[in-house]
Amino acid sequence: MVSPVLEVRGVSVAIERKPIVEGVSVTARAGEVLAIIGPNGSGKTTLMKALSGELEHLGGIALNGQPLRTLPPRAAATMRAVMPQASVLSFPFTVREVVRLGLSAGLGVLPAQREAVVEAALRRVDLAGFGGRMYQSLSGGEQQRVQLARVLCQVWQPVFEGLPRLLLLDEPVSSLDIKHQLLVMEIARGFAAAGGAVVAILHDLNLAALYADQVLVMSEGRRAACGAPAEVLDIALVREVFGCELATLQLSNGTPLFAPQVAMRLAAE
Amino acid sequence: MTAELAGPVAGDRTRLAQLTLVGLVLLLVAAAALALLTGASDASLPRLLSAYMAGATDDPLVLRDQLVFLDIRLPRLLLGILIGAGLAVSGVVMQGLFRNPLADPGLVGVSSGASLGAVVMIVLGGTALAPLTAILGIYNLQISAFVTGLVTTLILYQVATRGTQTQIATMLLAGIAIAALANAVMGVMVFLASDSQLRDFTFWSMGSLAGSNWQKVQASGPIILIAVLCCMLLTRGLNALTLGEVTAMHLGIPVQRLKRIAIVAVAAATGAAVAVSGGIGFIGIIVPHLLRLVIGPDHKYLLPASALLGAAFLLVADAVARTIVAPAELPIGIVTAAVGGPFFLWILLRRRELAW
Repeated sequence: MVSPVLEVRGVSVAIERKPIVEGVSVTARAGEVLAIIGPNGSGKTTLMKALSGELEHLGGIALNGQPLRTLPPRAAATMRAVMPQASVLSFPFTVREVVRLGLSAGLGVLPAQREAVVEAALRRVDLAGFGGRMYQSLSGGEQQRVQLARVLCQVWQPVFEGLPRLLLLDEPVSSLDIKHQLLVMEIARGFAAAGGAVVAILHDLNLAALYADQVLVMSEGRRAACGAPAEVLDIALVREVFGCELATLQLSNGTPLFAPQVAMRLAAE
Repeated sequence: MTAELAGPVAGDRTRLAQLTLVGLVLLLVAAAALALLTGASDASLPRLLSAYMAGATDDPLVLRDQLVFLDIRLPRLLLGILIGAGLAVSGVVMQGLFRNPLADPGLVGVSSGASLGAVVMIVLGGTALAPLTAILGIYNLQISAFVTGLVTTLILYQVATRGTQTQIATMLLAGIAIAALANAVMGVMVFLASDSQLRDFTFWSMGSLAGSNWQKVQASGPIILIAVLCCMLLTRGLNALTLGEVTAMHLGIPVQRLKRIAIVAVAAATGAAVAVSGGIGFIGIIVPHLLRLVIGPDHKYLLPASALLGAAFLLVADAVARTIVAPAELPIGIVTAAVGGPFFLWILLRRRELAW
């Protein structure tokens, strides 16, 4: 049997002895987008940091069947790329030079193709023509997309040497306008469609419902629910986990969409 | 590659960096010629060479010229190149490690720490530490400066780095505290020193390449050379570190190992340089800063370019120090400080405008 790209079994993470994530299990297979949702402070980012290897964990995390703990940094970097919530840059690199940093970490791009791949990655995140700009002169949303281009370069082929690669995105749409939020979600879907796997922390329930194959709902450090959006997401769960009353409507394929209750009242009037 | 052949790509400074490297090699050759041909003595290289051609090597004038070139200027030239390159590369690596363009072994107290080791050796090497001197041989100053420089760097890193962030203010203030402490201990050493030791110490502490000889080249040269070459291997790691330690780890860099190598290499290069030449400041900050303005911060080019420009800069500064008040000689530390002080202020003003 083929190992899943990411297998998380009973993972707990403590920061300064305070348990932040407790006993979370979830699996992401090739071709899947897994969305992690949950209220602020529910342990989403901490879980993500354990998945990326930044924080120590108890329990098991495996990438393509190999325990994360035993993977040297170089080997892990060829299998997964991580897009952080925010990035600082301590020296004045151009946009092109930042994106190249991703290439130098990954494998599978021939030297002769490198510049073409950098161009393609910049086009993919709607930053064609930005290669010559100084990174520090860009807006927050543009910087976030440069980081995405860098991360895409690191795992340019979603399947490399027969193994699917993993994209970890920590709130990838947090500072983007609506057009680019949708663009980033399409990029995630495209990566999965090409055989890779994506794990993304999202705050927008509708983006999660529309773009994810699986939703992991976190609440107080634990897994509150996990499964296909149509099976997992409903008003009762949102009320229980987020403590918030929402109105919902269901698409014909069962996908739920959410809106503030005031929207329904206005629609009814 | 085809895109590069078609013309410069926006945001790609590779070509510029390569041209700069070629230019710097020529600059270093010119600076080396200047260093070899100028000096207080009227020794003449053409005269020496034509005497060799004619086979007239017993002429006292020729013997004197030979002494000037082979035993005074040549070792001084080599030490100048090595120390200039070592100090500039140490600056680049510290700045990359602390993720801060103001980090420099001189400014943050590493040089003071290294000086402390050397001074202790100068004063106590013949008495209390005599057994150690016997073991370390000609390397005694170099190794003691390396050890105290290393300890200083480790303390600094512990104090100035919280989590994955380095606070600029904390780093500079910690540097001041460390330098003050090192100076206090050095004061005690001066108090204990004999008259002749005091003279050694005074000449040495002002920073100078005077007194360069082959033994010093032999003692410091290999250490600096190895440290600089080690630093050249850190290119990918230092580039990734620009995005922070966590992202560097995501990019596959073994961050802890990178930091250990960088700290040891910086302490070795600074220690070996300080042991020979005393406190020569500001090279580690001026040289990388100027080069970043031209070729950008990619360490693949910044490291070798800094080595070349650092070497050329120190040779020119030394030529100035040797000739400006000839036949006397100005300590070279005075020359680099006279250039470096205003330059540092300019960087601070510019940073304020750019707000980073």
